[in-house]
Amino acid sequence: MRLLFEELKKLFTVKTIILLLLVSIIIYQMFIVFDFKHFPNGRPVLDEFLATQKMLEDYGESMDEDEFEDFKSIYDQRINEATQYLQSQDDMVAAGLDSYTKFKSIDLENEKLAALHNKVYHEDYVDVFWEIPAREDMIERYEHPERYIQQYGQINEKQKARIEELMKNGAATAIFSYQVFENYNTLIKNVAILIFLSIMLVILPLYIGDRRNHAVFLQYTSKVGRTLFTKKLLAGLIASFIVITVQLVCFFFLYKGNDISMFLPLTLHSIYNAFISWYDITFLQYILLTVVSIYLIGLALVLVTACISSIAPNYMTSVGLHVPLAFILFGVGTTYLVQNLTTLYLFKYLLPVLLAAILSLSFILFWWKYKREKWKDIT
Amino acid sequence: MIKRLEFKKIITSPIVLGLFLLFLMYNLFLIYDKTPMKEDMNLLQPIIKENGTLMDADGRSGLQSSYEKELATWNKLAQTKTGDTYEAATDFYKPEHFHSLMEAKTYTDKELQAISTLALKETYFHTIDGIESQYNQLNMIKSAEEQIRVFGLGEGVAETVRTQYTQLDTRVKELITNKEHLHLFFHGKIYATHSFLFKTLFQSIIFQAMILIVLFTAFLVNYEFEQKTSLVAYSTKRGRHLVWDKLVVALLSSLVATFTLLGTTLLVYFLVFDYSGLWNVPISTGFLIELNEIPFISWWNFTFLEYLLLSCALLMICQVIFALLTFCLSMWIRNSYIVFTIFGVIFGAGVLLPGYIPKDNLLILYTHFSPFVLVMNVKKWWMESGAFTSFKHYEVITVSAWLIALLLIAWFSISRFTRENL
Repeated sequence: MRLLFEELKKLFTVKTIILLLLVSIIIYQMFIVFDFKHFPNGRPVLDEFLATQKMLEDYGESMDEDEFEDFKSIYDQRINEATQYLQSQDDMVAAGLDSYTKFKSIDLENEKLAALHNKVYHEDYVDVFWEIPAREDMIERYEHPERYIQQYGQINEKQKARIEELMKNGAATAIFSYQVFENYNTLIKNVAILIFLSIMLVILPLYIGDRRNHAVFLQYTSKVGRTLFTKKLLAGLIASFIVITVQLVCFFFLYKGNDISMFLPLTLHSIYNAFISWYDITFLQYILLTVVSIYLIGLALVLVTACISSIAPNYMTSVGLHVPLAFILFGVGTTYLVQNLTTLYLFKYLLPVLLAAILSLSFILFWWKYKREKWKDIT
Repeated sequence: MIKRLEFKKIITSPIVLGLFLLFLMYNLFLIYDKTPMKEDMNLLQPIIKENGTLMDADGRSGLQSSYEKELATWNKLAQTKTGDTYEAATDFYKPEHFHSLMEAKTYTDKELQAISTLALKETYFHTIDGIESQYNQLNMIKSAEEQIRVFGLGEGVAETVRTQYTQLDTRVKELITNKEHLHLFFHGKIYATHSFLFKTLFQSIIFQAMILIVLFTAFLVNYEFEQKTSLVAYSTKRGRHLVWDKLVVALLSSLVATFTLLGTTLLVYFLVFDYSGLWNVPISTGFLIELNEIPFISWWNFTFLEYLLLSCALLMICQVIFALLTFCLSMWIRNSYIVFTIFGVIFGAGVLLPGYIPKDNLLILYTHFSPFVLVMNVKKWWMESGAFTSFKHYEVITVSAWLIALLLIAWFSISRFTRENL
């Protein structure tokens, strides 16, 4: 136990913690903060998000025919408001734009009218004018649920059956927001990259340190010393568990600021979301799935990094070996194992199969190294 | 002798060679990925052979007459085959009849080849007018004002930006009188060769070379400390002098590594894509303009070849800067893996820094004069490159200032090291 604790202390030195902090700050500033600051990103995306939120408050998880009528009546109301606004503006009335219908069919080639159009949207930012197209789009999507299927283009029988099943089970009336999903999807990829990078930073010196100090020659002469190899691994696993957890806690704490808690219990399958999963899951379950996936990849990564650390003769080789590993893991790895999990586009059992393969491969790799380490000569 | 041994440390480490080959393979894959467009691209060469690259009134009428002649020939053929005549070669590809023609196999492969060549000629021909009007309307002062508004720049900064763009405006006028913009080149909107070569390839080479250089420089400088031989090696005067050898070897190896990586990649690129007849086309030609419609306004009248060579040289100098920076870091941090991470942090901070400076502070311009910002925008080297970096000597000032500063720091670190207690 004490050895384990000492090894942990060696992994979490002040230097390492400062390094982790610096790297985290840079990665957050470069890739993550943007999706917090600009959510929802621009207009009418913002208006669409607000309308969806209101929809959830008023109608609950789904919108039936009556509620849809109500939704449409709000739309008519907004058009009236827009007309009223136009009538209250002298320059608009003077240009003959005294109703929303006239304003909408404005001839943008005409410079004078285009300037007025621009004024409403980009100078005065009149909310209601942004809200109307957003609501229009939402109404259209509700009225044409078949577009939900069409967006998938070429699909095979199984995928088609899955979509039809979803439509039967209420996807056509369920409420969700594609922006919320896409936003999370982008965020979690970058957070996963940061987490994997942090694990590499912490675990990389695991075995090299003692080997470079020639402490191994002393340690391996005793029986207890030989157990150090596994003890160090255990320390590495605990350390990376701590790193992942701290990073995820920090991320979700910030993510709370996006104010999407009302979407958590909703099913992902809705005409208002472009993502389709093979499984019937809610947004919260999806988030948990990504978290589990990150922990499992983290576990595999510790094993691989530990292996590299025990093989590499020097830091240069060790860092160098991590370059292609990072390239694959941050690119392809996160695309298939952290983003769009269980998507309809890919093979249904891809996620569990891939995770199992990665985990068992890294276990085998480490086991091979462990066997050799046990009987290694120390001359 | 010592230098040779130091060099051997780098060249014999399998990881450096391994990574080098891996990077090279990746670059070759990038090029391979683009090979399908090669045949189409090279249809330009016969046009150039016929009319030259300059499309002024003479060149244009030459191109036009040859185009009209070929179209007439084609229409004669079409009339005998289907009874149709085409006003333009691209009309042939209209979906209404194109698919049925293809299914009926009305035309032989050779004839189809001819019409596609003709369609391309037509596209090049029609592009000229667009380029001419775009350049005549080009207003650098307006573009400066637009950027000042979008970025919300304060008065002091805005004044500097305006001065730069006034200079650019004279340059645009000169460019138009020189007819630099009217030279035929691979159509940017179709092939985007400039972005592929100077963004995709150069950018990836920059990062690859940087990784290699930081790795082996940090390794080399800290070799004695990591091998625990520092107490022996640095106990003599000659031993302390070792750092100088290490510095020279690190810089030379950086140059060698970058040169080989860049040279091999470019060699393959130009073997795959035939640039014959285009080496002397001005880099500011309007045909380079890509889908984003932003013209390339170089500060000097460079030909493509000059631009390429200058960019290669600048890239090598940037890598020297990175090697020097790593050297300085390694003199203070005696662990190569921490040096590697800190280098990454500095790079990121360098790129991010300008974003945190208030928009009315001149510092926002000064912070752009850093090699980190410089290497992120290879595509626009020596050119108008946005409000913050459009200075005539931006590239030269950046690299010389950083080179001098880093050389001084390196010299200071070494002289401190020669006196240090073991």
